[in-house]
Amino acid sequence: MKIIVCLKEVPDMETHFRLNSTQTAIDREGIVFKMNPFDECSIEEALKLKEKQGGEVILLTLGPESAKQTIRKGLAMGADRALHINDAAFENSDSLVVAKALAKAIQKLDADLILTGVQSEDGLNMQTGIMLAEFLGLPHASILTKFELLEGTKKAKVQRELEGGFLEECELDLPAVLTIQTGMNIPRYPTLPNIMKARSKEIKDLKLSDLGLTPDQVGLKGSAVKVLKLFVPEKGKGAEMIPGDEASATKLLMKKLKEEAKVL
Amino acid sequence: MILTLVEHRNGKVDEVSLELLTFAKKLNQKLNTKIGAVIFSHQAKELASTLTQLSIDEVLVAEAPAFQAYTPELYTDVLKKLVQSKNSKAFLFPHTPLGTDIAPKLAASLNVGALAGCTGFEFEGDKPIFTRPVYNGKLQAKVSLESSPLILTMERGAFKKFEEKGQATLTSLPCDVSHIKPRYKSLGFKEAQKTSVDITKAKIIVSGGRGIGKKENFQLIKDLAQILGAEYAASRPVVDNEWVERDRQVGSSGKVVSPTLYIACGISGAIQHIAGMKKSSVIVAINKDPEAPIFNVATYGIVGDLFKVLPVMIEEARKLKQHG
Repeated sequence: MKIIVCLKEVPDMETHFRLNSTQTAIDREGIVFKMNPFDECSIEEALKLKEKQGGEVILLTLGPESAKQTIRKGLAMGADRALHINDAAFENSDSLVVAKALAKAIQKLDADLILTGVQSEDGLNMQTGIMLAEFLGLPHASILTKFELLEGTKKAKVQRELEGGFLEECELDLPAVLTIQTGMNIPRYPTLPNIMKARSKEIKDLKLSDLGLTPDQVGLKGSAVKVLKLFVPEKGKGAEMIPGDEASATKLLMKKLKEEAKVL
Repeated sequence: MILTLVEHRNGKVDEVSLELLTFAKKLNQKLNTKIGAVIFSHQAKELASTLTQLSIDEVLVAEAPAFQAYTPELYTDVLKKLVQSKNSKAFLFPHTPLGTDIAPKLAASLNVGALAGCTGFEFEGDKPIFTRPVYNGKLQAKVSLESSPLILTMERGAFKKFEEKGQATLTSLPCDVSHIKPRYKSLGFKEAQKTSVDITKAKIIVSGGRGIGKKENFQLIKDLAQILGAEYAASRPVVDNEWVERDRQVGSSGKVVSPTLYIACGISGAIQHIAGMKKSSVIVAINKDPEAPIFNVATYGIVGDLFKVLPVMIEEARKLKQHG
């Protein structure tokens, strides 16, 4: 089985975000980046499949040079090799453009299965995987919490997560694009020998021209979604913040819960 | 025309569909066109009748046995033809597992962009500028969409339910999809693992999040819950790590709760979690990150180390229990 896993580098969400001078993006200076947690689950699912079925797991990333660190982690988890769409022309691309670029990179690979995360923690779009399927002309299933190959067929049985604790079971033809929800598995930690091994695994850079795309089709110019401004959400009324060290604040809180809010 | 997709379950229109109509009405203040609501169902009559009584222009019904369950390829085929025949200016979807699945597929098939999880918009001249959460809800973005039709999904609760009475025309959509051989088939629905607890009935809930760090630490949450006579619950990362059973997950994909007191410990407050607990009467948030979005919905907040806070809370709760 040839399995492609699309992954993205995202900032650690506990970071204090500062904005750039135009307030249209975060200031990347000093920020710790990590692998999007949804994508970590995608890699784990791909590796489990490979262990059962044999084959190859190929990682695919679109992002700046710094994303190599995230790719290396995926390789250290056990993926075989990686493709890195690494071209500044893609900066500020929307999901449609990213999906198009990923589709171009995947087209010639003759994959059996393509996995993406449900969404990225920074973009929260839930779009790229589904758009990718459409550009590849493949079926898709989104928000998966279970995946099972149906032996002897080119089909899979999957479970989608709906709202309010409901699940839907579906059957779909392969090849297909699947978007993976967190909780589908618990991603493995790379072991030290595997971290060493990952250093010699191939990461191939792809440029705009390798994908047969032109500068005006990508980046800000090629994207329909324009970010005009980022801002910190209004606090609304917000919480009454209880001052002091943990012990005194907690005592005051408990008093307030009993006497002011009358809920204890 | 501005089109909206009607979400429904068990023969009832989901209220997010009515919120979408308010969104459509407001958008129409500058787009100056008609508003239509699209229903897919194998039995659409009753669903349609609740919508034709509203002050919108058209209720468009795709009724066929094939639409008993959602199939991406079939829905997209009907919607794509509809968008083209109506020269649609906008197509609004709910930000639900249905809407987030179909909207990007439709957009890609039309080769246009799409927005996700919009919570509002304002006009700048005649151009709508949409607001949506990014960075797990820690930041918001103002965005424009420069392709047509405008395709987007709207977060639940972003607008009030549309209730203005009127009379809409009922139209049957051509829905011969026999030329498509779907490669995706729904096999049915089921509920996630069910045990004896029902956290939605609890008066007090003590809930733990990623900040708990590891499974053993969750005992502190359970201890506090026990002494308060509360149920314990958790946010998604805790359940994903199998520290707590899935039927104790609070959030849009888990349980929606509204206890008298909700104590959120080490929960940052992702949008999906907040959707599951924001209607609680009193919310306490304990988090080491002063910018955690959970503080935006909390009644009381403590910025600090929950491993220092929780033991004191347990001790104070014990005193309360003993002395009243």
